[in-house]
Amino acid sequence: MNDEFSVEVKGLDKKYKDIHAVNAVSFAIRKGEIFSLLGPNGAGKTTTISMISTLLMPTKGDALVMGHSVRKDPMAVKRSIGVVPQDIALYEDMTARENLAFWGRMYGLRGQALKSRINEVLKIISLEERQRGMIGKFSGGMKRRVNIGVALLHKPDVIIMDEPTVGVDPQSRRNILDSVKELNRQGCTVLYTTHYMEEAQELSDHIAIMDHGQIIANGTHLELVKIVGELDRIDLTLSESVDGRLQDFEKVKGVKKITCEEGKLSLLADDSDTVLPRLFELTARLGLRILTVEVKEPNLETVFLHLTGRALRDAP
Amino acid sequence: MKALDIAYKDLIRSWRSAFTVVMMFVAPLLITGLIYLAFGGLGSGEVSIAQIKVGLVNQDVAVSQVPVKMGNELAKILTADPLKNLLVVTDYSSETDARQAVLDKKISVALIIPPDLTSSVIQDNASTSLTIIHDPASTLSASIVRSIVEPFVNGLNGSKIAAQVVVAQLSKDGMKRDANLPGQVAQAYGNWSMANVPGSNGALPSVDLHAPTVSTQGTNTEAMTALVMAGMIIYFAFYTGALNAQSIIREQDEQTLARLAVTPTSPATILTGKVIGSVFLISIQVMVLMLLSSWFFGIHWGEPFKMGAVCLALVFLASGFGIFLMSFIKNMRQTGLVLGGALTVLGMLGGLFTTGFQNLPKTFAIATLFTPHGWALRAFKLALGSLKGNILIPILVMTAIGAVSMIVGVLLFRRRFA
Repeated sequence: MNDEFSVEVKGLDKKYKDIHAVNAVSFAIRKGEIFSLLGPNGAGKTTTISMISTLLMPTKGDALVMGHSVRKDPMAVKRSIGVVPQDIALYEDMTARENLAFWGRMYGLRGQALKSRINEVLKIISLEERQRGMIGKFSGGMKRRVNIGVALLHKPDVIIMDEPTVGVDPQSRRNILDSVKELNRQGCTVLYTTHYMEEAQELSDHIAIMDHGQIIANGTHLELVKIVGELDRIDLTLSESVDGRLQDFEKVKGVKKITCEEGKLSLLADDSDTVLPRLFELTARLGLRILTVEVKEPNLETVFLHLTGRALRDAP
Repeated sequence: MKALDIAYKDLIRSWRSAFTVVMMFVAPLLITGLIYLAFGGLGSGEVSIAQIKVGLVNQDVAVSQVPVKMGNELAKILTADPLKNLLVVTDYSSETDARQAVLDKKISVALIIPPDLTSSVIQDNASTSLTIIHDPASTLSASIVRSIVEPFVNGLNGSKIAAQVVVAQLSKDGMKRDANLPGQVAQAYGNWSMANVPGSNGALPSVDLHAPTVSTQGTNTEAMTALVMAGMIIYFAFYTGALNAQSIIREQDEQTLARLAVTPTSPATILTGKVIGSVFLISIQVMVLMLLSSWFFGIHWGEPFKMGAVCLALVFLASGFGIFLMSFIKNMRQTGLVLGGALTVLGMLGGLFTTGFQNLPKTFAIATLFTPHGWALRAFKLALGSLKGNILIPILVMTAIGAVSMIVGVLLFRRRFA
């Protein structure tokens, strides 16, 4: 076992009949860091963490969690991890406290230890006052918080969170992101999946970008942005769709990559100062009107665009 | 321990579901209750008439020529065993006291026996009368007491006529008249009359007419209600078994099953918890239904040991069969097929809805045994005594079907969630 890493994923592979959901994925997560798997829906993030959390058996490869193999010692892996599933997985006809008590028992907690830990977790998720409320009557954000709380009960070494902010209001999202940071400060290793570039950027020490079941880039935020190099990202909103005339934009000197969604063009270009006049000239010639122009510093979305030719939002 | 936690959680969730509670307890009792009422459960004589409180003022005076006091004979009839459940007789010393007791509603009816009742039997032109005083609201009670007293009075009249005829005949034949003769003749006639009322075997006709009617009709209704209730208990026990097993599918849809799978809890423990939950739930259901049906419909469930064994086998069978059925179901949308369709068809084929019908074709009785429901019903019938045979056979068959279906169901579930 390598003491440096909490999670080591080695060539994980998952095939379903005709679908290669995860293809030779490898990465390692250092102890005490937040590691994000960033990718669009269907990239294979959930399948990957399902194998790491022993829910799915890999077709090939292995993953070690705190040194325990998901293939050889799944029970030891389960004891080491706390999983926050993408969907709310709680009993709606039981109270928040009853839910926490039940799940705590499933992790082997009993008696006073269980009671104390439930109180601690209720404090972490800021639901002490609503602990006797039925989950079914909670708002989406409150349910999400209890959903996270369940994974914290047994003080796991590694917390695996699968898109925990999907469908929540901005306030609850903020609360969840702050909780993740707080858990990390307390020494927890976090494996976090998301398709929100901003979340990965804000939370993560390391980020792996996934697409079509493969890791296409892996590193710190800075390392990933460096992949794009000095390229600028230019977003243009046009008066009408240019789906059929994209090749005209691709031919503009200095344009490296281009994608179009709902009348919005996203381009990667060598130098925005020289490329923009050429773009204005082209749109005038095509009889199009430019409604907005935005020039952005390279970010993770730019990286994804650079690597796949698609925007993160319009993938796959 | 974790299996018990899972079972306890399932029990809590079941109690909180109004649908489950209605299907477990209300529906079977309601259906049986409707059938019970439809077949005249309340009007069958099975429900006892409230006892009639009768005040007796026996003022009859003994006469040396008659060996018995007629007033005492009437009192004996009123307090005799066959009437003990119908009449509660209290003695009063005077008519005034008895009247007051009627006014105070301490008694419903007062019967006043006059001082000359016995002497009137042997005196040629004497006549007397018994008085019945009753609360105006208790006309039925008064009629009942009157119907008991009237045959006795008729007997006395017959005795008197017999004595007069004998005395007149002796006088006509010039024979010497013995002073005790009228009394002896009256006594002899009275004994003969009591012994020769058709079908009475010496007892009062009114008593004999009522007693067998109550007993026979009550037994038939009770037996039928017991069988209908047994059918409902079996049907809804299977329903609860399937409903509890359905919680596996529900947890799969709610994502809690996947969450359970990432806790250090083995699939075997999860399934054991589900089975324990099912066994607990059906046990409670069967016990409560039997107790409540005894209370509501007066059902006697037979020998406790036999019925206990049948119930245990039913609990095991319904739990196992529920898991077996649900192991073929992929999602919650399909569960209606099992709960509403398969179980109802099996219940019908098993004869659960035709328990109240007599003289069904023999082939139908045999066909019921192709379903687990039919075996359960057979066991109940044997325990209730409405069928003759060895009760061990259906109990063993139920246990075997329960064990096999549980094993198959658990294996299918384990394979699916592996």
